[in-house]
Amino acid sequence: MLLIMFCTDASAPFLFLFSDVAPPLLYYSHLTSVLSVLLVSLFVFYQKRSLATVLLLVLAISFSAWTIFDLITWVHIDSRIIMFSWSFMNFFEPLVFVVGFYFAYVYLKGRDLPIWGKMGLLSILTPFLVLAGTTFNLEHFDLALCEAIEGPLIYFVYAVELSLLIFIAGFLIKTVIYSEHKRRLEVALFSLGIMLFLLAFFVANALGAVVIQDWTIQQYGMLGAPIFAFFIGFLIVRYQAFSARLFATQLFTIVLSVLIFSQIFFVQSRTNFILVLITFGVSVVVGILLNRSVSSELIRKNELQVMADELAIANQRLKMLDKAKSEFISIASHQLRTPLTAIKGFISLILEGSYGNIDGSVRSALNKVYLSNERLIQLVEDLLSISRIESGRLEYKFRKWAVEELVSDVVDMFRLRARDANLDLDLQLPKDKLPQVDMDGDKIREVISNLIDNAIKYTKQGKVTVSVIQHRKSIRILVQDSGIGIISEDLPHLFQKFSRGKDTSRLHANGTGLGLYVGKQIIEAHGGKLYAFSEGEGKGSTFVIELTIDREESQEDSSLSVDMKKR
Amino acid sequence: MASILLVEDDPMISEIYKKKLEQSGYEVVLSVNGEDALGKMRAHTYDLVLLDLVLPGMDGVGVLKEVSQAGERVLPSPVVVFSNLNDSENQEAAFRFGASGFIAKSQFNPTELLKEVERYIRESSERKKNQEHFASQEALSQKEQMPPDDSGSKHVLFVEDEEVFINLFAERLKKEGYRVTVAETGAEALRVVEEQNVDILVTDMLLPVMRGDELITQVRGLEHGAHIPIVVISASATDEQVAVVKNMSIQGFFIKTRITPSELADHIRQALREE
Repeated sequence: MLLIMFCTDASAPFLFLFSDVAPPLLYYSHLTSVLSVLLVSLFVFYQKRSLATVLLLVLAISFSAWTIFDLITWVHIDSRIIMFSWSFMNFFEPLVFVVGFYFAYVYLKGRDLPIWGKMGLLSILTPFLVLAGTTFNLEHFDLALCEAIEGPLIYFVYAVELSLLIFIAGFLIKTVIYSEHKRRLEVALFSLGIMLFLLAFFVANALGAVVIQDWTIQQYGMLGAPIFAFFIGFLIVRYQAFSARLFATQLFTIVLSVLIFSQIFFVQSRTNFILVLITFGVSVVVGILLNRSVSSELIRKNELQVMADELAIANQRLKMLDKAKSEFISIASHQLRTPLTAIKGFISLILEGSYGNIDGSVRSALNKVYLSNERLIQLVEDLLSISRIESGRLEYKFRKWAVEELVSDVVDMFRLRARDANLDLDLQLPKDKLPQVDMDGDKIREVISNLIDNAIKYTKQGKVTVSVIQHRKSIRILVQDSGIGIISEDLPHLFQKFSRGKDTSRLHANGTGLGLYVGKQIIEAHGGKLYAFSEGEGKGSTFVIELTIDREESQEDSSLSVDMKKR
Repeated sequence: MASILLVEDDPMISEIYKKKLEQSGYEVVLSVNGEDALGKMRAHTYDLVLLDLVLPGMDGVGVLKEVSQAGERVLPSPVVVFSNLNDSENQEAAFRFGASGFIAKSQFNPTELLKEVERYIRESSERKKNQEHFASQEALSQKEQMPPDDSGSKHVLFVEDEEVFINLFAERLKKEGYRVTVAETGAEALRVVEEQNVDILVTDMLLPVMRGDELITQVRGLEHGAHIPIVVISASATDEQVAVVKNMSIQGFFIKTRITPSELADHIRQALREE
């Protein structure tokens, strides 16, 4: 007996899949969807093996399986093949939704479903798996229509899909609302992508099957897949590894070329054919060039990012170190004072004879100890001053001072030393009385003292001249010497802390012990300028303190580090 | 007014130092060579003799030798020598022959020199006191050596938690003859002020439980605390705390590393006198 099993409205498909009885767009919608979804999920899986990427792959495979089976049912004439494929479709269809949810959960939450969740999903799937091969699913085959007639299971399928869809929608909306601000865009985009995909898939199928009874609508539902693939691709580019961008570009250019090439199936004429070929050729060439440029740009971008990150870290450490150093100096200075006081006190008592008479040689030795200790005390004082200056905690007491008196006082202090060093020490003051200057006299005195000290130190013979002049709205104090001078390389570094010039951070034995660095800080806190010039080695140097008569508040941020803004 | 004999042959140096010392209230007598200096020392006692080592004729060491061998023919004056740092041989000799101290000329500017001079003057006056004290103690027999009678003397409340400073400063004040009570916390000190009669309060800033400035505020808040002279000695106060304290009515503020026990005793004596 010959069972009539073949549809009579068409001939057998070529290569199992290709037939011209298929409605237009069939291959287009089905094959491109499968291709795009599989490519993207394979690529993502290749990049990073995790539960989320595995699920994406499973989703892609489920969808692709459904699509291929659907294609088969469209083009085949053997009823057995059609029935077989069709029955599987009604299993893969809900599977797509279930896996879709599972994937969305894992991607958004970053963790696996709890066991009861997996159980729940499995229980939803089981009936479909069990009943797929039964008449509950497909009642029989209608040769005339060349279609399978679906049983009640199909309503169950749609019911499950609809409820899952609503559930997924709810879950996605909830996640978007409760997500952290910075993740919100990513989450929203993902949710939109997957919802569009599932929605398109469901609506097209449901509409096509139940409402309008036109399967061709279904094909449009397929197009949800490339949309989904696009979203996933975009998400990869935006939020994941940079190297994905290159592949995304490659993917885009390949898909574009493929799409252009696939137009071949729809050519109407030879001209059309040639045009399509040309467009295809162009797209391939452009694709290659684009990929090359993206590739090199990415490499450069990566390098820059790495450098920027390292710089930010180094900057952070620098700030911490600076702070730690200041704190250390502060604490150490305070701690050091206790033993220094004890030494000072007890030695002075011994020298005073509180513990009995002492021998002359003992006295001599103890005197040296006492003076050394005084030096130490001064050193601690200096360190503390420097740390105070650097952390901006140095207090200035501003009032009006007569500059001539101040300078003259300081110069007097050095007359003896200059004499000892066989140098002339000259003071030149203007004839007319200068206006008084608003400043912290004690600190300015220290700066001038330091300059004269340096001048004497670095001059073998000749003279040191200190002069005061008024220049428009400011007063200038000049210390000029005929000493070793300053070479031009050293000039810009003179006032820095660890300059390579001869005068590094040498600390004075008297006062607050200022180096040129600290001197500059102090002058700048007055809104003034401290600078030097020299004609070269052996030609002497001139240091200038410039102060405005009426000091304006000028707050300069002299912090060491620079604030870097990340891109 | 203290008198100083300045033995220096360089006229410019001697002029600068003489001016500086006179500005501080010392009486300064000049001498330009060793012989002259000896002559003056035979006639007067000075609070301090500043002796340059490099002199025409008899040099500084020579002068000292004479002084030490002359016995009672030369009146006792503490001698501090001037020298340059690369002159250590002479320094040693000077000390051997009785110099009390030395000042390196090139190291100090006139202001610092002044401080050193004051230090030596104080040192020698203290030394004299101590010598007298030991001499009188030796004269007494073992049994008769009693701790100094402090019943009639002023009561000093010394507030400090670190033992080394108690040993250093409080003991020195006891030697001065004061009755010294030591309190190690601000709360304890406050109690003493409330319960006993305190003539002067000497306190550190960094104390457990109650800080120095809090203590001062509390003391000033008490009825009989308003007029007690207060002296602060501190090692580790921050700038802000110092400013706060200086605005309260206190009679002295010193940094521990800048004051010797005897200087503190001096200031206390002054503060008590000014009451």
